[in-house]
Amino acid sequence: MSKRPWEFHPDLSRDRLQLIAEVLRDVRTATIPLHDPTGGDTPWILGCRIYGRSADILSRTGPQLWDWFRVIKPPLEFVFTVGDVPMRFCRDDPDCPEAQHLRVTEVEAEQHELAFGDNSVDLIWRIVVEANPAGETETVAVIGATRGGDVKCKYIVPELDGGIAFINGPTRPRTGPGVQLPEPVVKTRSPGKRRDDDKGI
Amino acid sequence: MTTRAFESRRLRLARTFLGQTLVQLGERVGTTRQFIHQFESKERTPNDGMIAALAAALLVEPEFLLRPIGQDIPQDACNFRKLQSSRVKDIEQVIAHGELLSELLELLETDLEFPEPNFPPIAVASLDDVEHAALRARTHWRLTIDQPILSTIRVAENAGAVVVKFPGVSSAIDALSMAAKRPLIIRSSEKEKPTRLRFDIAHELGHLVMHQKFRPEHDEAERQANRFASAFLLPAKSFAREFPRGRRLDWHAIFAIKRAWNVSAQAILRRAYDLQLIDAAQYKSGNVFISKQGYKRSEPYEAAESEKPEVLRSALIAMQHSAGLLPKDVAHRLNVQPLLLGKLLGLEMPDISAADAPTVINFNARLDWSKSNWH
Repeated sequence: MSKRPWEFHPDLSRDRLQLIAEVLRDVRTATIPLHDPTGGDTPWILGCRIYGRSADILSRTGPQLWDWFRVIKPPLEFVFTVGDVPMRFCRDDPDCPEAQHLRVTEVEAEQHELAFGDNSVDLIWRIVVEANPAGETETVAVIGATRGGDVKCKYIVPELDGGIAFINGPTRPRTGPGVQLPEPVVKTRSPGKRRDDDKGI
Repeated sequence: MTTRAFESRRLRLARTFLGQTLVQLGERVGTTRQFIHQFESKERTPNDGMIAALAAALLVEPEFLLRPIGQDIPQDACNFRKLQSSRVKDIEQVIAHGELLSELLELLETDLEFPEPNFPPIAVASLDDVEHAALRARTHWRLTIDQPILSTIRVAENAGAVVVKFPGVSSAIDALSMAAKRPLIIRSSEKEKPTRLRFDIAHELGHLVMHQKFRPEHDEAERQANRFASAFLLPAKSFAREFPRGRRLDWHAIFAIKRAWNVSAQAILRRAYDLQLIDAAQYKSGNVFISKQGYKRSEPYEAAESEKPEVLRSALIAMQHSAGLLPKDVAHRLNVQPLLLGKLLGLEMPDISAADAPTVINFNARLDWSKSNWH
């Protein structure tokens, strides 16, 4: 069995990868019903929509929720870091990713250099969503590949059985601005009301 | 020669408040643990020289140790959080804090009028009763029943309680409330997460409303106060309308609720479970998630600042404006050193022993908190 991502980099822990994978799954699931081929939507439009929404929610939510998550290049060439490890996501075949998806962006190379010193030896990490022709998620995998396209690590992220979701509810509560009482008032006693019952103090 | 009798309980009160052991105090005044114990148990009376030494070591004036003292506050008049895990020493320290604060308040109330105590006594038997008590309390205090409360400390202080945050209280005790003539809420500032503070204050409000006349055994009282806090901060109808339903927990929505209501995600999850909006399995998996993400230590979307008590600050300002009494004068009236008054109020005080002691206390710009006002 090949090594798993966290055995290459402790930063790529199972829990962290699980969370990102869940977001990608949820966005795809929530976006597919919006797709309208009869209105002129093409598969390319669907792909753009899913990519854009995924990058958006990861940008807005990830850094707030996870102290190990940072976006270093939004949004078209969306690059983020898990701990110190730069990553991107794409839809592809995790066993045989396209060269364009393994292309190392400039910021990614810089992050490799910063984090690991020698960027020539480290793997390129991608979260790859494999989808069926209808666009539905089949698997989400984390892969580590060489620059030549040789996949050295592949980890299928299992789907959670209940528990976590990030996008399928209202994002803005229907609540009022809140109620604030006035500052409590401490007044000087008027001379007639002054307490003169000395209690030994 | 001292003509007034030495008040042994005052020695113990000041020592306990400062968290000093018999041994430590003995060392400070050049005597033994046994002697201090004998002073406290009235087996031996200290002479004037020893009284002066004890006073200096305890940051009080000798007069403090000679002044009559009222009744001890019994432990069962206090509501603690985390009593079972707390050491006796910690409990005694926080009660001593309450006793000294009560004396300070009695002194201040000679010249000042504080908000009248206004805690509606509501007896409860079941958790349904607790839900109703929380709503009735919101109505009583003219809070809406469908909006977030922006400051829980203001609610408590407008209702006549005095709230103090005290860094010296052991972190083993989250908060304490005393249902005295002037109710007190003493909150440890060791756990300073804003949402946690709000929940603790609402919890103590629950004790002061529900347990004035009858207090059930400790665990049940704590359960009721927790449920009160939950229902007070997150009224059932509004919460049920906003909480997302579904097979999976929607953390994006949960954190949106947190931002709007200023209640922790953990408390939101618990509220959802109590109101049966999620089942036991979802509650469990939610807690596992919270734990794994490290949210038990530090949750996202905490407010930048914690709520702050206002009444005592206003009282000291009023004392200065109306009676011309500076904090050092208030301390003198209480027969304590200004440093001890500062500890009592939970304020950072200038270190009088340091040559480069700060000259201004960053507490309230409207009052001149310069060192000369304290010493």
